[in-house]
Amino acid sequence: MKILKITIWVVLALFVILQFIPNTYPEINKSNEHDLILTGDVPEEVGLILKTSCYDCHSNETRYPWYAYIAPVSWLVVRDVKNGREDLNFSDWDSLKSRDKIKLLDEIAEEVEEGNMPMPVYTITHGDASLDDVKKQILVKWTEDMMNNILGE
Amino acid sequence: MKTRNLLFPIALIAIAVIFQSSILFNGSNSIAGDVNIPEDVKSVLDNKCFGCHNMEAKSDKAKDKLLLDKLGDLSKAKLIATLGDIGEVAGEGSMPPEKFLEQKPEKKLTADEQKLLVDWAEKTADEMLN
Repeated sequence: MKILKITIWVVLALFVILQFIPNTYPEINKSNEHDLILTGDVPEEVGLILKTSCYDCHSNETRYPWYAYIAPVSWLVVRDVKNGREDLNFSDWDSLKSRDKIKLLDEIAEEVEEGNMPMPVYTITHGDASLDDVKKQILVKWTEDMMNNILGE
Repeated sequence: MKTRNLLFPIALIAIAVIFQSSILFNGSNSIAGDVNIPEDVKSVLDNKCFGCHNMEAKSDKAKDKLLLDKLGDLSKAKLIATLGDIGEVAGEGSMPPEKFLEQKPEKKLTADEQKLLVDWAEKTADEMLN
């Protein structure tokens, strides 16, 4: 009994200590002149899906939920947002070279089709971000249209 | 009499075959119609990438990512995306994979080869977009 009590206290103490470890959150910026949706190349329906399912990690407009401020979950959130923005940041879209846009569009289609994105760990707490087959198809079709657009075909 | 009648069609076919193969030989420098692969780039791709990234290779993962002998089958968009991938992994040095290099360290891309592949991939993609 005594051991159980001590264990609980130790775990609690550790949990409190974790909260004091500094964690730098990727900055939130709501006005991005090179944002994808501002380019006008995105139908409303697609824009809505992107905002709901992708923008938290793949833009500067991250909406951090309350638990994103509690360690150790906060570390995962920060890591995923950092990695997400590094690989693809829709807020910088229009500053990209055409060849890079095509590479990313091709990757988007692949990740979405294979169900790798949005990440399962994200959709656990963001149910509305899950992509059903209809939404997947809308996104994939849009990537194809965009690529053809860039190629001038 | 019959053989003489056949001469003309046979000659036609022969001309057609020669013509065809001359087109093919002209294209020997480019894997795909649109992709121009200079000799120095081709030799790096052949020596360090082709072993896993071809139709007959063993690793399904490598084949799934890139088939250097099937570049010609790709659409323009796919080809540009693929060139982007090649440039990226060559630039990062993430290919050939570390595990493979433990067995065959000689397959590692040198800094010069990395730059050669990156420059070629970017230039070729840009040319296709113009």
